[in-house]
Amino acid sequence: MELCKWMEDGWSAASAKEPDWNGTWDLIIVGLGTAGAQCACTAAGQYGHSVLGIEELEQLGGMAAAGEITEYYCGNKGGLYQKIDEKAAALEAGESYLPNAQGISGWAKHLALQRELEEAGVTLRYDSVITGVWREKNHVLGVTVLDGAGQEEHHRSRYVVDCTGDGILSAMAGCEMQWSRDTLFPFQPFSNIRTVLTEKGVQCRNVDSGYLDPNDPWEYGTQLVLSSASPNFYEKDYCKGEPLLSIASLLGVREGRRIVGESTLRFSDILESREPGPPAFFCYSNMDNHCRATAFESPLYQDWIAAAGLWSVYLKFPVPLGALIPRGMLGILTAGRAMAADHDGACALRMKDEMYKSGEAAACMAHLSLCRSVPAGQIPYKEFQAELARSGCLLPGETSCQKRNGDQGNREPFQWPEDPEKLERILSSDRPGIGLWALRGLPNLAPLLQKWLRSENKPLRYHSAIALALQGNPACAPVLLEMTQDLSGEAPKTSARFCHPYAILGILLIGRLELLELSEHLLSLVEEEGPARTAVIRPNDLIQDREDLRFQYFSHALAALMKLSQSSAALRARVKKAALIRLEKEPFFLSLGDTKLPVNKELLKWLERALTKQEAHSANEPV
Amino acid sequence: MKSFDAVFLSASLSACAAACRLGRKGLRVLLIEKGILTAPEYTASFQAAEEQTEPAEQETRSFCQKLCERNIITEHGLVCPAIHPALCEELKSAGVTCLFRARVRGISQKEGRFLLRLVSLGVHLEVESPVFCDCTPDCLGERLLGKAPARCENRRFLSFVTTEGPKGPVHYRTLPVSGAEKGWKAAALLYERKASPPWPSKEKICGIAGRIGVLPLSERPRENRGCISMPPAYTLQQAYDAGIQTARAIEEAQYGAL
Repeated sequence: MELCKWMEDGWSAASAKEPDWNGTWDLIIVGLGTAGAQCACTAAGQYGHSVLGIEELEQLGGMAAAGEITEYYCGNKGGLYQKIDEKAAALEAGESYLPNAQGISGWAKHLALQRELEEAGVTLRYDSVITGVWREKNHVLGVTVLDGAGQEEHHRSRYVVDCTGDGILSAMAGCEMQWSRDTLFPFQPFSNIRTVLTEKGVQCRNVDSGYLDPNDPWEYGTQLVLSSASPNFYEKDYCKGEPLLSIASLLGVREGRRIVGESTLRFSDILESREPGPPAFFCYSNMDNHCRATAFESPLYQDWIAAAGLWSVYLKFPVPLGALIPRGMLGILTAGRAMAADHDGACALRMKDEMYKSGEAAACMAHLSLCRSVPAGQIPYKEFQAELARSGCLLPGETSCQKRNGDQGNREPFQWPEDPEKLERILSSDRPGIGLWALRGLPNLAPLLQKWLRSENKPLRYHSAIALALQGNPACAPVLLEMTQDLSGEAPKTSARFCHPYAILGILLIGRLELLELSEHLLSLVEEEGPARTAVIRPNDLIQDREDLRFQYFSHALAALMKLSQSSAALRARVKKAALIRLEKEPFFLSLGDTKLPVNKELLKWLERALTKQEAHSANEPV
Repeated sequence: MKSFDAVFLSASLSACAAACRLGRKGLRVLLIEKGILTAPEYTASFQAAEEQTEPAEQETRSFCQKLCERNIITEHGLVCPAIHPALCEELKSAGVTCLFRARVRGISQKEGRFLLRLVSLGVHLEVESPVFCDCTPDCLGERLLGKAPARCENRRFLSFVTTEGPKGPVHYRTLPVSGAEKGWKAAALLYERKASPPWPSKEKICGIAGRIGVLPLSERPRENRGCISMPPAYTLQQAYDAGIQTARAIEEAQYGAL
């Protein structure tokens, strides 16, 4: 038997004698937050298993309770959690409580969960964390738990479920893990959440506060202090007549370490409607990682969120069963935010409805696995489907679809247009996004787009160039150059957020097409402020002031040039020199919520990494 | 292993005060907190602001003045949760290192230095320091050292916020509870308006603290074979004074006049 831990320098396992177990369970659930509390309720209440629940805080429900995120955003409804929500709402309906204006108060949710877990017979350990995982080869057998009084106990189980959100249990068990993207900030921003008293009642303020690796304790501490130290944190609300009631006892961490699963949720699969395996449940969300540094996102995400501007398109898609199963492991499942997904997929797979669903699905998987004596990946899928259909967690015949914001504020399904006349109308409008994305898959319409490149109608001309760039067609180069020189500050208005000015889109797409002939123009944007000093600012959530505009021009030009210089060592050297000089003399800031983050160090790190990668790639190429 | 000049267990107000004073003097200071908030007792123990005593230390007076200027001590004499960001400002400017969501698994002493085995966010860490100050209300640090005081009873409470309405004054109130594990039951009573004693009927609850408050032991040795115990304090001024005085004692004992 091995005792596994996660040390500062990574995973470690040591041979150890089997401990004297303090308890033996069917399931141990680590983290009783959104996914975990639901998992425990389901495993014990629906299936009658013996369950030990381990929670770090003295409160259940995670972000829905201690995190003060009391309302639902996006999300595919359906599942056992809805009944618990009804009970929590009933508790809150009493006269003694000032209702939460945005949903169910955290404590009402906690109390409803507490009663549910107690009735189901779950044994609860508050104020407790795990310090080690016991396993035999790839089979997880139990955990060591440290309680608030400093006492350690060993507990054995037939299944452990990682509901910590950050993959703490999975990493400790030695599962393969993934750490998101290799770009400017590896993870999505986190929020510092506070509750205030408004005229409408109690409301939470969910403010993007910075970036952190939620698995690095030192960085976690530093970022927490830095983000909390902002005077904006309290002055704005407190002094303007919105008394601060509390500060949430959990940070709103959107993304952390995730498992490498038997299957993975990938953004490319979502867009292509590919199913990487039988679904555990369906997810419904827009693609929003809250990060305004789009220059450093994946090419696919850039196409979707920046070039086509489809922030306001909501996608319903399946999450594969295998995303809950750590690859090659037995006796362990992962629910919640640490399920297997790529960075882009992870920005959609984090809403409360889906976290609850993942907990219910994990409980059902463990139950069927135990009853049928098969690994979780081999459970009879029809039985799984039938079980989840009873609660509405996974409906028979549920399929993928996409919706967009309608004129009445509702969300309506739509089809990607294919008719050339309709596409011309869309591209001539200020909301071209749906048409741009449709044209991305219609290369047969390239001749038409090339014709429209000569149009006097600026939106049609620009949008045709974007569509051609999305098809990978360099015929749009002259118009892309024209766009980069456009100082009007105008931007397509497909979505309420992430509207990139045409000038920035031009730069982004020159990089996408690797138009080496335009490198001198991009280089001038890295060397000096240029148009960022004079272009009109039309404030939106992406660009609020000159500092934001300077960051967008510089970051996009730099990222585009790095793509162009993949095939030119000479250009690479010039880009490096220009960027280093500019970063030396000029501070850059990235807006995030109320704060401006200084990003020169991060930009330098990104540049060094990108250069190292390209140089290594060149060295390996045959001469 | 990271080395520090002083380590404080728990980010209570007195610990923050002491850590900031030492940090400003150039010492490497670590604060270890099991939650994510500094001064986790803020929602409760400072509500009796009218009972506040006159600060003994100039630094305490300055800190209180800053809180007043920022409306953190409100016109009703309450200390609002914004004391957390105010303390974070202090910690940031003093260069204090903080570990949040961190637990101590064990403490040992060797050649005049304390070695702490920690786990934070699932990561096992080790730190060492010549100075270890236990600021936990239940003497956790001292117990892990095997030096627990004979008397270990604590007063536990649940703190909550009430108001007379969205435009009415806000009150921070406390309710004694028997123990942390049963705290949720007290919250349930609050929810169902069955708590005893009841609060004024025109007030409605608009928030309940996420963790059970623990008031420190009233009898606690100041120093326990090298491990310093933060003296108990029951008001903001007492707590800040205690932190400053403890920091001064550490300076004098370890470093002479800094």
